[in-house]
Amino acid sequence: MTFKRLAIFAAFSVFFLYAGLILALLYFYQEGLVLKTLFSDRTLYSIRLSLFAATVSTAISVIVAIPSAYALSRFQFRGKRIIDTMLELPMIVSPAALGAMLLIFFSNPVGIWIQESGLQFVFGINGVILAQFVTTAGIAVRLVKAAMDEIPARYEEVARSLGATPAQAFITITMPLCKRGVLAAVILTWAKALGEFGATITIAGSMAMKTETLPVAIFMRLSGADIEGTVALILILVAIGMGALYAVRLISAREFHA
Amino acid sequence: MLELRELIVRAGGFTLSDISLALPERQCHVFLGPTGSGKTLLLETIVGFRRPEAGSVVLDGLDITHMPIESRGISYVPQDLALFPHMTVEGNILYGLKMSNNARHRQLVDDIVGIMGIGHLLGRSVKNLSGGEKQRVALVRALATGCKRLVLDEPLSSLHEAMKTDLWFMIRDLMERYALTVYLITHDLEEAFFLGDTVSILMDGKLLQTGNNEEVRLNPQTISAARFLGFRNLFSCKVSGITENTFNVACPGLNSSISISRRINMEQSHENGQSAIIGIHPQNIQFKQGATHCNPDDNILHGIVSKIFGKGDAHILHFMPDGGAVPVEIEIPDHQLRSLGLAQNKRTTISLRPEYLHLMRNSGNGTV
Repeated sequence: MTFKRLAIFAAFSVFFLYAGLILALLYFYQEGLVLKTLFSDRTLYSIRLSLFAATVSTAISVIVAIPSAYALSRFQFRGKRIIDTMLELPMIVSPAALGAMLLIFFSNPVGIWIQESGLQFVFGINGVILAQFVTTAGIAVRLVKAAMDEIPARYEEVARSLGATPAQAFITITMPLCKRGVLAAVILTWAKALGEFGATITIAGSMAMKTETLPVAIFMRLSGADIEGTVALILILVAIGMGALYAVRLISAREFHA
Repeated sequence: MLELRELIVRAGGFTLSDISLALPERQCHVFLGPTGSGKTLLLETIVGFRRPEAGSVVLDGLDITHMPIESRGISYVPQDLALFPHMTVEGNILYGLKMSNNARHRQLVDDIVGIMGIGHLLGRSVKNLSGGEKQRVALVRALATGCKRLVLDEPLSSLHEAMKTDLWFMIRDLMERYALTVYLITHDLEEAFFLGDTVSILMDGKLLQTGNNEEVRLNPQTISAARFLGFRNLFSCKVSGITENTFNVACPGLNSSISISRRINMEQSHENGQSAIIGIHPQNIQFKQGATHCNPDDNILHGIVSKIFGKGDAHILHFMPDGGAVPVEIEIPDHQLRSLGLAQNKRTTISLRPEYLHLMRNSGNGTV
């Protein structure tokens, strides 16, 4: 087997692994049940909550990630290395541990004060968003930084020699040049947030019609040995996630060729 | 007037040390030197991309060392041109105007676009331009801001000879029309001496020599500068006599006593018995084959042609003087080689004319 064929075989192996898992769901697939589950109030609420929380947490992550990534990509400053290392925290600590860390934080005086000031995180929707933000922010910074690293700083230097301020150079040169990378970061961050489970259930719990996101709902159905309902919810999550990813990829590909 | 006062700039392990220069307006100042000599670092400090560790950059009496890049009024064209790939040619050219909200220069832009002959490219993406077109667009973009000072960091290095020469003329033309001051980096000697009113030679982070075009071209002050300027023949010698018009030196490598004009070596002072280096460019050596009368001051050397190398329409010959230890490198055009009937191992005579010889102090151990 040539090296090329071996590499392609590996790529197909990964594809068939995931495709096999999705196909395996069909063994328990019941057409009526999927539609019934989909249109139930509880599922619709979970879908709305998942989409809302993932979108808000992604927006916050990217808003924080863009300037942070720019600083890490372009400037040398004290503490840069430790910040860079800390970004890996969501990857090296399990989501459940991250959720537990949040719960412990809100049991501290500062956390209690925040909660008492009117911002409820524990067992609330804010907690869902916070859990997703905490698990995705580091990844978002890492992804946006990778996109900015690809853009030579020389463009900004030339722009500044032509009269642009640092902010103008960033907005008119760097951002348009790395927009595809940033878009990819948004997609992956959103997908990661949509599927977030460990941190969410730890800090926000699993209250139906309150903090039950789709992944939490899947877990709850599985806990109740409702395999058919679990299958239906997984298929809905897969369809939403893959559909959104595919749509954004299509848009970005069209922009690239434009 | 741009003044660099005792500049020290560090980048990684490299240091640009103690650079002091005063560069008048409306001239082309060339910074010449091999790769890694610190040319780009110096110009980046002038433009404001780098902060010096010590010293200052003063423009028209104003200390701009810590002034933001966009406030300096110095446009920059890097080696890779850095045309903004997400914009059209027009977008690139008008970028500076948009940033400064300065519509006054719109007419200037139209004029420059016309002079540079890129009007037909305005709607095109910069990704689809040829090398020469990209250079023109980069130059127009730098000038479109109405800026009178341009920093050019080897922008022509990737072009072929004919296109490069076209752009030399264009740069000269633009300088005259718009009273520009240009700071140019190059390692190309032809480009340096075509465009440069003044030339500074940088090597290993140090400023070896600076002066007007002819001064630097004809009278290198150090062995390193001479080597870089193409003085391939460098021979150790000892000053044996000084008259009103000449230095006489004994040159064991050539097995000969050589007289050197003092007129073109006025910058240098030498003393009897002092160790020195003679430098002569391979193109400035004459053959005296068949000459019946030779002036003794012409530094006549007899010997044989030891090697001949082809170099396109020219040839490089190695001439070994009788009793000498080192060959003299001579470059002559193809037609002259044929008319003189020169061939390997053929005996011949050469003249090292005093006005082409440069005498430099030997600050080293006496060897070249």
